[in-house]
Amino acid sequence: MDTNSKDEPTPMSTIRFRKLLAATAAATALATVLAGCGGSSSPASSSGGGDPVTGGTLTFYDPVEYSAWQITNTLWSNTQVTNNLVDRLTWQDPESGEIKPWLAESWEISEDELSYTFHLREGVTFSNGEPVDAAIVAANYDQHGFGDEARGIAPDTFFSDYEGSEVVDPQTVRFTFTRPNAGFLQVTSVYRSGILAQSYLDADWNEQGQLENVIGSGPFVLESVSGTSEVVLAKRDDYDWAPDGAQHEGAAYLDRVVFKTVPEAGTRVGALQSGEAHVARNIAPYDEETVTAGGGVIEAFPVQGQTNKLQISIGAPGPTRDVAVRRALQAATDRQSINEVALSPSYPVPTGTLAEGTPLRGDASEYLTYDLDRARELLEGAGWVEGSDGVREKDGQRLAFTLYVTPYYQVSQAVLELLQSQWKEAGIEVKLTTPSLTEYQALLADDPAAVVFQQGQTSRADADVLRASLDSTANNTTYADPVDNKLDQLVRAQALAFDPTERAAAVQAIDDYVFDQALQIPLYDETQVYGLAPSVQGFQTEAVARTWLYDTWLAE
Amino acid sequence: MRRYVARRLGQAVLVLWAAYTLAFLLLSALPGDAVSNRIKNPDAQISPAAQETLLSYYGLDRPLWEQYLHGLGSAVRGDFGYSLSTGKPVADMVVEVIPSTLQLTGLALVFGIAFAAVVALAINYGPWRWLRQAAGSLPALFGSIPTFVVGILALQYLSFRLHLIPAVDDGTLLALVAPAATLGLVIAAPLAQVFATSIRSTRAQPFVHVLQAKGATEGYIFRKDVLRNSSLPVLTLLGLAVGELVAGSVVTETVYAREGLGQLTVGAVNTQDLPVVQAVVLLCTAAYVAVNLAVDLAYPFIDPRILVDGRTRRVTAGRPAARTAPSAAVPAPVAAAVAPAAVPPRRLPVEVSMP
Repeated sequence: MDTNSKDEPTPMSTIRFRKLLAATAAATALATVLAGCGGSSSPASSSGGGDPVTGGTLTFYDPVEYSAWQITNTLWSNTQVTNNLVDRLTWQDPESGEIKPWLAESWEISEDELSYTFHLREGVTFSNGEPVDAAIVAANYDQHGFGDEARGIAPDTFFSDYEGSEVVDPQTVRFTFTRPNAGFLQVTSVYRSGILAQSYLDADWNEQGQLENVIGSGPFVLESVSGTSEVVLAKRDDYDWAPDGAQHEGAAYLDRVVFKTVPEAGTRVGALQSGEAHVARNIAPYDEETVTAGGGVIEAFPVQGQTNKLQISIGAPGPTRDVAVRRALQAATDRQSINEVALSPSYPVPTGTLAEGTPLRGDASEYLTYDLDRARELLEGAGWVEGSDGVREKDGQRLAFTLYVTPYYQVSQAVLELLQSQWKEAGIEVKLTTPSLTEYQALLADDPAAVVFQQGQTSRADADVLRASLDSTANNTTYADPVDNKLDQLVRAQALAFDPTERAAAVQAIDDYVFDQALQIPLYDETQVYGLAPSVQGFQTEAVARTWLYDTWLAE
Repeated sequence: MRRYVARRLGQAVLVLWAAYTLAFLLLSALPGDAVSNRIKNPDAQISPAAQETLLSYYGLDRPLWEQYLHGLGSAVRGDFGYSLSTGKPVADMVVEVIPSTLQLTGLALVFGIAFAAVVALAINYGPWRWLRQAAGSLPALFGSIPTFVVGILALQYLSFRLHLIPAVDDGTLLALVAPAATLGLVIAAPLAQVFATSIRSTRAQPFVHVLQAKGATEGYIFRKDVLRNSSLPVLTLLGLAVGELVAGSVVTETVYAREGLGQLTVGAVNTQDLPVVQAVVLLCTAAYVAVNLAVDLAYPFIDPRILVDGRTRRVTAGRPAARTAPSAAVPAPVAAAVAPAAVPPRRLPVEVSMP
């Protein structure tokens, strides 16, 4: 601590201090020079395509810390990684929704629509060398369908009504169900249905949560994992079974991918600009311009499935039991303005129960037009008259609601604040609260039906997502009491319609009913916004916006 | 001395138990748990039946007291269980991140002490008045700027603009410097303030005037008398600073995206990962207790007048002769000013300056 040298006169000599200042100045100068040398890493302007280049390491920054790695974990950050490690029986075209071959070359659905026979591609191996054959595919689906109580593994909701598997021959496997489900073929394309090696299936729940154990047949393999914040993948050189929909064949272009969790939004955007990161996930609407101004590219991918909406609990007591009030709330909601003021063009304006891009989605835009006068009329008609402070009243009761800013969506606060002001125009008072994740969950655990408006969405690129959400025997998010038989019948009908035209009509019928009854108030289409460095080419995602880096390459 | 250490160790065990129990009670009192946190997310797509499977797998369906006793029993045996969010053994997770946090806090401590020393010396010995005054306002300035502001500014300029340091930890020493300096500033502010005040009051003591009168240079007086006499409060504060370093590492590691105990804690608290939080609480308590014990034991080496176990201890052997010479020659009033402290044996200093 004693920094004075021995024979220094006192007070500390001014000469010494000048030396110190000079040294500091020199250090600063040196630092600046070094900065000049080191600062040349800013990315060059986009090459605008060109021929794909093999090699290079892509750095991917994600805001959310990684949790356990079970294949059924849908956590956004985790699935960015696992989606690149595992292959599925089928591949869903994210644009058209069409199901195409992948590990399965072809398949047949039985007459009674209860059994599916898959013919597997030959020569596919896991990264540990074991073959991907009918037996292992059957074992994978059995674990999804039945769970494994002893290992702490519960049955997967995506495999409801699963009856069992049958290995017909080493390349042929058959699955049977107790009830027809037009959505099942799409399940075989979802990342959670990724085919994994026997060692993963033999592991218990905790061990399945270790990324080292997630051994698939995908274009990338795990190189290293560090705690909950970094994962490095390396390409698999002998990968030769890309799905038909991919842009190329053989091994992936990138040599390595470094996934890192960087919670601070400013750091992610800054790192993108400085060239330290190639891809940053979850760019906030207000950061999009910063990214493009810095030479980066914004790419938004629709999260197919439900739109992000306020689900109204019909079971909750209060004015929302009256359909006229619900319709008024719908009419008082200006989605265009939400998009322009609180969000960005990356977030499509919703036109139905399903988000843009979801196959066979219906169109309910006629129910979703903004019409303040109609909202006022509806409320007047229902007996809600304007009080002295502008808030409507009926029998001494104020037309006031509480909205919870859901902790899952980064844009929630801005959207609901705007909605608050929109509804106020119609004489509806909104109290906005921002609970923590824990508080919010306590609220839902306590009495979910009592929460009148629940903001949320469930993603899945298939209309069957509506059944999981609205069917009274599934998640029953309307909490209707007594049960809404009409709604149940509608959401089940789409699962029985195997013909696409019929199924589209069944989905449209759901949309018509849901919005005629104003059971949901759509806010925006859920979107994943990625910031890309200009050198990133061929970046794409699967149908629910999880990164798939097989076709991605780095220019320069 | 031995009895003193034994008693302190006994206290440490009690403190650890209390910390464990308190953390368990507080976290159990919170609504929800790690498993339902994961399941309640509308996009998790896990059925309520799965929730029961998981709860029973993790033993979270058992009564609270049973969970507590089981957890405590295992913790005593060194088994901290499995993380509810990653499924890894908690001990492994903690051990994995400790080196990174030790590097960060260690370097931060060095930076903090160095910065505090420079500022405290500048306040007291600065050759110009403006410098002394400017330095005098530094502790308050740095004490009042939150860590994350310093961190974000440092990133903005040093990393994004000048490309001097990587924005995200890449394992190099260079990546460690900015976070360590950021964290160092936090603890440096109170240290500098206390050290400067302490030097000032020591320099106002009559014995210093005597030494000056006898012609000793300021440098000599500082090294031989002022430093030792004014470092006790700083030492006490250093013990407390360890706690602050751990708390500060939470923010610093988040801003700089560094793997470490702080980041682990944030994640575990967010997901209500009780076993991980428990282990972190125990570890921090143990570190805190150990550091403060070490500080207490270090007092007598700096100030021989302090006795740790009530018995008189003479530390005359090996004292430099130069030291005794001027003291022996001081006039009576000055000797009286120094002596009173030495007469009734004190246990531990009470005039600890708190930030």
